[in-house]
Amino acid sequence: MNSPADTTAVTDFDHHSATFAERPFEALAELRDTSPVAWSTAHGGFWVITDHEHVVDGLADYATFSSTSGPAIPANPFGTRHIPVAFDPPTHGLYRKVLNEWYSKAEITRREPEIKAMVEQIVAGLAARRSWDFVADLANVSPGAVTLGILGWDPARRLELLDVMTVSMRNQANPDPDVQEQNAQRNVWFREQILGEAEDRRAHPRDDLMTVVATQPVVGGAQLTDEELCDCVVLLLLAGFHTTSGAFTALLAHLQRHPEDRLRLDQDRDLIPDAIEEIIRIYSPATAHARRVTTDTDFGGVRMKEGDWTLFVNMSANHDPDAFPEPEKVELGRNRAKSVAFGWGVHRCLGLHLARLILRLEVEAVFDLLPGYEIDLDRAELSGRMGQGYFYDSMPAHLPGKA
Amino acid sequence: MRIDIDRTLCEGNAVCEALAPMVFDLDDSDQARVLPEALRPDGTVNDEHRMLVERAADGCPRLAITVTG
Repeated sequence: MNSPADTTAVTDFDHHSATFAERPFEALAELRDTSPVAWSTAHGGFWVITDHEHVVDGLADYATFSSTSGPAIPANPFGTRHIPVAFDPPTHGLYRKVLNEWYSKAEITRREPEIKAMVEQIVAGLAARRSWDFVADLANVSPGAVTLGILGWDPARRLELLDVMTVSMRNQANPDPDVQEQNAQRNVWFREQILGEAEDRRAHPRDDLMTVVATQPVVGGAQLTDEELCDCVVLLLLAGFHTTSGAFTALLAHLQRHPEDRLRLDQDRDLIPDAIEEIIRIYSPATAHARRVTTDTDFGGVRMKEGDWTLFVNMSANHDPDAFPEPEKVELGRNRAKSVAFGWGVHRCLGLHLARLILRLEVEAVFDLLPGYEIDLDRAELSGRMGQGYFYDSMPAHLPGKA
Repeated sequence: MRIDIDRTLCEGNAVCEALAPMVFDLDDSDQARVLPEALRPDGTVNDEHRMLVERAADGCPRLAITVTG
């Protein structure tokens, strides 16, 4: 790893640390105000980029800032060659083209009735119980279930798979060798499940995405290898899971603190999509994206060397007052054109139309089926893993009359 | 060069704006457009940003952007 020059701002910024999780927005504001492109000594050393201008410039410049070493610091416990996020153009586009068809706005709109029914069934279950946890019982369940539906997996298996993902992602930055060994074992198990599904589709093709990735030629006329297939399916499952969960619970927390906004959204449902965009701007479901420098380059006033790691902090860019006046203020109708909540550039979120739909359907179902619901914010637990995204681990809630 | 955006295909993913912000942005209905200041009177666009525009066309998730000339 190269050492930065003497003039470089040096920090021990660690997005996976407990100190960051305690006050993420303040920590990022301090960094952004003093040195928007700084060298962090954490995790072996990396450039940390926190202002909007340089985050969008860097993420758009895939030729200089490559994804091919994986988009996370440290590496994702389920692998670093995920398809398509760990590829640059032109290979990236070949993979993405296949997946785009399944996540286009038109395709997601076509699936709305089935997704709506799935969400409503989950929420109706909460109504029957009268008290529940919005994280474990709704936010963590519906995105994974919908993704498994698009892939064509048995919805009954969703909890088992979601549990495995949750544990490993929680332990991503845990240095304990035993914990990392357990993560490795879960990764092996996960991949066995994927290959089992793929084998089934090769014998019995169906109209689902699993059949496409298991049987159809993708890149240069070749079928995906078993490894590539796993790298693709793992990503589809992981990418939409915590992110959508975090977005939903952040919105609920906001509405609990601001009953006037809750009333407005309930009475004017057309405002829900804007509210979702504004909440994910402030409470980033994905904190940051890592890239690796391909060639010596001057960027943001520093000299970066080939091979350097960089971390583009979306959570910080979305709080940059130069891009968003009064950035901490929730303004339901704010222009979202500059928001990097779904990323920026060729890797911009594949599932963004799906995420928007799931979130809207969840909010509508909660308003319709859980009238007067109350969240016990004092008992809600924010995640200690803000380095991945702004997540809640727990958000207890109940219908009126039962605490 | 000439840039055509098929607005029946565009779904507002904003990848073009990310890759070539001096040429593209999203309009009020969340659809990509060529910036008025980038357009010349004859409807063509200066070649200055051709590489970025071609990247944007390649990167568009819906392949809604065509570059000719």
